[in-house]
Amino acid sequence: MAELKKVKLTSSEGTEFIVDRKVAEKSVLLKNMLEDVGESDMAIPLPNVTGPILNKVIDYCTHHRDDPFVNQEDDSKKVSDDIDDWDAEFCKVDQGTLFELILSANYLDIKPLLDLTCKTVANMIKGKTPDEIRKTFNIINDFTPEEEEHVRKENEWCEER
Amino acid sequence: MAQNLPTEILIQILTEVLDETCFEYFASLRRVCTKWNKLIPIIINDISTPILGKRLLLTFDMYKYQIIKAPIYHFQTNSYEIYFDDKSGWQFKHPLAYDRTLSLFTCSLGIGKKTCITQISFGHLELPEVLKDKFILNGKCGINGWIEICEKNSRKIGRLRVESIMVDAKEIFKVLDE
Repeated sequence: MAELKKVKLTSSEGTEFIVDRKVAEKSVLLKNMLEDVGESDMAIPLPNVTGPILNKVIDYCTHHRDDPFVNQEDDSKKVSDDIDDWDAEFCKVDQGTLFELILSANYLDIKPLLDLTCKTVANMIKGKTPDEIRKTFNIINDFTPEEEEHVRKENEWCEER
Repeated sequence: MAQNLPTEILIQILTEVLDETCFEYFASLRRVCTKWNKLIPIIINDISTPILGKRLLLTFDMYKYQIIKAPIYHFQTNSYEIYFDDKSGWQFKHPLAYDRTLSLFTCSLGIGKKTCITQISFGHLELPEVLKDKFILNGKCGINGWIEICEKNSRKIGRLRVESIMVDAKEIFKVLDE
């Protein structure tokens, strides 16, 4: 049996991770880098990803290593109810970690992970009022009183229930 | 952290919210903060325009003119070119319907100084037969634009330019959620 090719990744703090090339290639960014560099033992630095988050990303990519490649233009939408049990469990993290996962998935160009994490946040939003959303995500209400009154008036039609 | 998300990611999240809810609820989220207030109408516009293009009928009330040729739509200028013979006077002509909605919620006016430009209200919106029993587009809905009349080869040519389509949000969102 042929030995699986390994790839070294370095997180922002310098922690080294060794993963199968197939796992690393779930990231379009890494796939392109590996194709450009060819065979090399050099570690790939990922200055935008911390160790704990990189660890989570590797967990995700390892679990989904055999999934078919998702094209960027693929418009087949999965509804939130379609999130499978493993993915749902994977996303049970604190809010800071969830947002860091989103940013890392975006940076590393891992579309299925980006879709999953965005969907998780969308599920946290839906059904909440603007006030509840601000509280949940620590969003500052940066409207001036005049602006807020203007938006409130414009939105009267959808809030008069 | 949520407030520092790049705009393209926030758009993806909000689009997901819209997919999972309805336009009416989605529009109410404009009140969260100024960034959401700017993005939500853009997302609504991006998603609704192609849907409405298939579902709304844009009807020109051409009773003023004897149209001698079917109007031609120009994508680049977002306008309909209409040829008419003004010698026939102001004869009644049955309205013509087109299954295309233009520049919804946007303004694309860009006509320079031409021979004669008059701002008019020249049409109304209708729903296709299959949706007519379910929804009502009330009097707040309408089409506004400009008509330009100029001479070309000793013939008068009328050109209509759709500037905006006004729709009653509550009604139109019901159509979109359908």
